[in-house]
Amino acid sequence: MTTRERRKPGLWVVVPAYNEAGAIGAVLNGLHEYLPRVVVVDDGSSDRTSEIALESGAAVVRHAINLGQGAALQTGIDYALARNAARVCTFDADGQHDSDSIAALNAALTSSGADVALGSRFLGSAPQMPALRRSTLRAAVALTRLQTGLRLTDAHNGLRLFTRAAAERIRIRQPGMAHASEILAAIAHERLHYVEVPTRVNYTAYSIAKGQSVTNSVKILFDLVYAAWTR
Amino acid sequence: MIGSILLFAIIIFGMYVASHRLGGLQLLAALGLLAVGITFVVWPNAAQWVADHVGVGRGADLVVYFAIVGGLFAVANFYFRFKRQEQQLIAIVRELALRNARARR
Repeated sequence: MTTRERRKPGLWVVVPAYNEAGAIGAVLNGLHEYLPRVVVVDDGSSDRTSEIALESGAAVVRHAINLGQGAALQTGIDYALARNAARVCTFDADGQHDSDSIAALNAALTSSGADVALGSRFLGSAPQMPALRRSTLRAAVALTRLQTGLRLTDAHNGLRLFTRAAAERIRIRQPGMAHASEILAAIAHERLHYVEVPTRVNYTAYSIAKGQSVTNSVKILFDLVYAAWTR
Repeated sequence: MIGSILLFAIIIFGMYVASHRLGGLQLLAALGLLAVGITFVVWPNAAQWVADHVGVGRGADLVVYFAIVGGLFAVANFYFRFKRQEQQLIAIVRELALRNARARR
């Protein structure tokens, strides 16, 4: 695949990754039909995440230090937009998403004419989801409705698809995990049209361990209150 | 004795502040703090006089209350500055990362 082909307008997949050497190879294998328009943002990993991603055929952008998933996503989106991305998909590196879901999001975006397609594990399925995780996510959904007025079923799903125009209008400033709510707030603020698409989230021992702890939701809440206050 | 020590400390603090570039509001706050500090050291009864007028028992208590509020402002100031610098740091790291992007041919 040449550089010129890589620059043709198309769907780019942005995969933020921090110390995901154990999972990133399989995840990128699953994304092979989107290669080479897959960019892994290595958020300052200390393992072989970058090397494995490169070997798997993805483009790699590496943060010199660990900034957080929100910052990694924005870096990846910047990279994709600079390469003429027509659509930008965000996809988690820990293997919790199915690559088939991207096609579903893409089809939903096309048929609905919306600006953003959001994956929802509550419309779809998430077997093995721990009960505590489920209730925390439910609380996040309720909070999102309060904060943004968006009537979503899932508020913190890492699987999203943006049109180019939508990706250009959303600027993630929250470096940490509060970016998920920040993106939704931006969707509401920019009056972007969105659709929710049923997707599957695979809870494995690995993804649960790599995922956020429930206590981290307190930090997310604080970040959001701070952001609202200083906007 | 304690008065001259405190006065000396305050003057050192003032020189330290003056040697750094401060924004208008911060400079005003620092100068105000200096003035209050000098006043209370030179005329210890001034704190008691103010305390009596605002309904605080002792002048020393009043000074503690003001110190706590002042400390809160200082912490908030540092926090906001940290958040600004965090955004600057992100911008630098992102710029570097994008410049050094790699892909297999």
